[in-house]
Amino acid sequence: MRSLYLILASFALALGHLSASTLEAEKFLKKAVTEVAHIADHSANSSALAASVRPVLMNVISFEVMTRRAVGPGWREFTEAQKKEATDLFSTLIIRTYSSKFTPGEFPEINYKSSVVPAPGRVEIPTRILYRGSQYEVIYRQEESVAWRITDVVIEGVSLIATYRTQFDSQFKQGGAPAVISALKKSVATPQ
Amino acid sequence: MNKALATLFAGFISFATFPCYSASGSAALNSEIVLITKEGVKSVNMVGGRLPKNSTETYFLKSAVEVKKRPLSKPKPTPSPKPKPSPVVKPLQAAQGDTAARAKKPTPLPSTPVPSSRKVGAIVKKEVQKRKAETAKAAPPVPHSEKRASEVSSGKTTPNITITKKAPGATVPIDEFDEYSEVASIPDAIEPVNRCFFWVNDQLYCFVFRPVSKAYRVLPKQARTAVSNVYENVEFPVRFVNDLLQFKFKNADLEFRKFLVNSVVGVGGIVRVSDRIPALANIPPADTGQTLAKWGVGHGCYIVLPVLGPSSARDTVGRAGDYALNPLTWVSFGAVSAGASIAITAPNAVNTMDARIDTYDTVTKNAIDPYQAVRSGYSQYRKKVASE
Repeated sequence: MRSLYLILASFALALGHLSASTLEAEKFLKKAVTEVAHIADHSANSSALAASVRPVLMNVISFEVMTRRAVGPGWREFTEAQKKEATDLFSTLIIRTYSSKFTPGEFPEINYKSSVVPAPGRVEIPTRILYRGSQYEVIYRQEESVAWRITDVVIEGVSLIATYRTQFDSQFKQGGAPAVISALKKSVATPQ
Repeated sequence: MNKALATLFAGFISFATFPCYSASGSAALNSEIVLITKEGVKSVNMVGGRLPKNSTETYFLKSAVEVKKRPLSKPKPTPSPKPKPSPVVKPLQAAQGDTAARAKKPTPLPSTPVPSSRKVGAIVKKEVQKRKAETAKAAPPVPHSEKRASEVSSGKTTPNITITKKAPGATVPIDEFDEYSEVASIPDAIEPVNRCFFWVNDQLYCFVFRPVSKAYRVLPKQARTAVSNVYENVEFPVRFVNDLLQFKFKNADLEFRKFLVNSVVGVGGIVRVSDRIPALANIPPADTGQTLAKWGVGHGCYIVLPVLGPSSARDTVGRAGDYALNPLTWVSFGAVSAGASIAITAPNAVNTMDARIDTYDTVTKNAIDPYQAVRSGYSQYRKKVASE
């Protein structure tokens, strides 16, 4: 009986720790999303928004994790310089994609649903966003390293990382790391 | 009896000390000795003071000696010319020392006494534990995610990774590089043809649909929303029948109520009153492709349909089902003329065009390969719809 109490107590402690950690992740996300939405609301256009939102997103999103997962196993063959270059270029693309979804003067209505913990140190926060008359289901995937960081955004079931993963795979098969970087450069250079 | 025991003891000591010529030390030439081998106690006739060449006993003896002589650990490099006996061996020497003292015989070779297999096991176990403790001391525990990051950045595969990889009960794939490898997979057997139609559709989007959509935006937003609401309400049978076919009776019931509310209170569906009723606000959509997926039909190959865009073999069949269930199709194939049919269906096509172009732009604008981006996005979206 005593051991049963001990087991229950340890479960309660573990759950307590888990929920505290999840709450922290939720708090972090709400703060970040509100901050970005406020900046978007006061921006003149989408290119100005991309520039002004960049410093905020750099502290909120783990671009290094995003890039290496988008590249896949080929990331091991990248040199340190190539890794840095690829991460910088990919972060520019992500910020541009993210900021293009905002229209200045329009504030999204976000409903946060209960979080899911797929593994220790990982949290998925599903949200329902009402924006410009349309509803979207958006899942924010977060991971705890030094602090909580967003590692993927899934809009209506479409993962940002998975979409790029398919594209990087074929680039890498064609010409390795230089081909990936060259494709990223080409995409970044394309006018919006 | 005493003689037999003495022979046994002599044989044991000698084979433990000399690898191949164990009998030569104490036993006489051409005599019989008793050996303790892996297979048990053996009596062997010696030829010229040696064991017969290639005999089974020689093999047993060799293998037995080899096992005992196997080094327990790599010798530690010590700066002093006279290496100290390792602490692992010390107690063994002490243990064996009693026997040596009793026998009062100086050992002919400067060898360390060979421990028995049980002792060897204990020593190995002790050594492994010691090394584990040393490794744990040297490397402080690192948080899971941080550890992975450091492993990746260094680009080295350590034995630790292999151990964690095989860890039972791991819910998350440890090789994070492969985490997204299977997320967006769909067979694309006719890729060249698909790419061709993709290019055609892209041109259509750029030069036909986009200008039309832009022109349509001249209408006030309320009017566009009203058109959208009416068509959504009319397409109620598609969702209702598919909900029934998927055994989602609750959703079918909600769809029916939504249709009633919007048709009656919302004046033929112009106003979507159901949005103000929480239970009716977010009913998951249902289509024939989804029903087929629920029934276990796979994607089939990826198909880019002219004008209509991305699809799959399953969803193309599903699309045909949706057309069949759509009352607008019934009207078009009914008594009305071709002109009237176009007039009925065109507003919906133009109305949905705006949203389609917006989605298309989001996926392709910052893509490395727009074709692959659309294919991946479509595959993921349909996977999500099928799982609902």
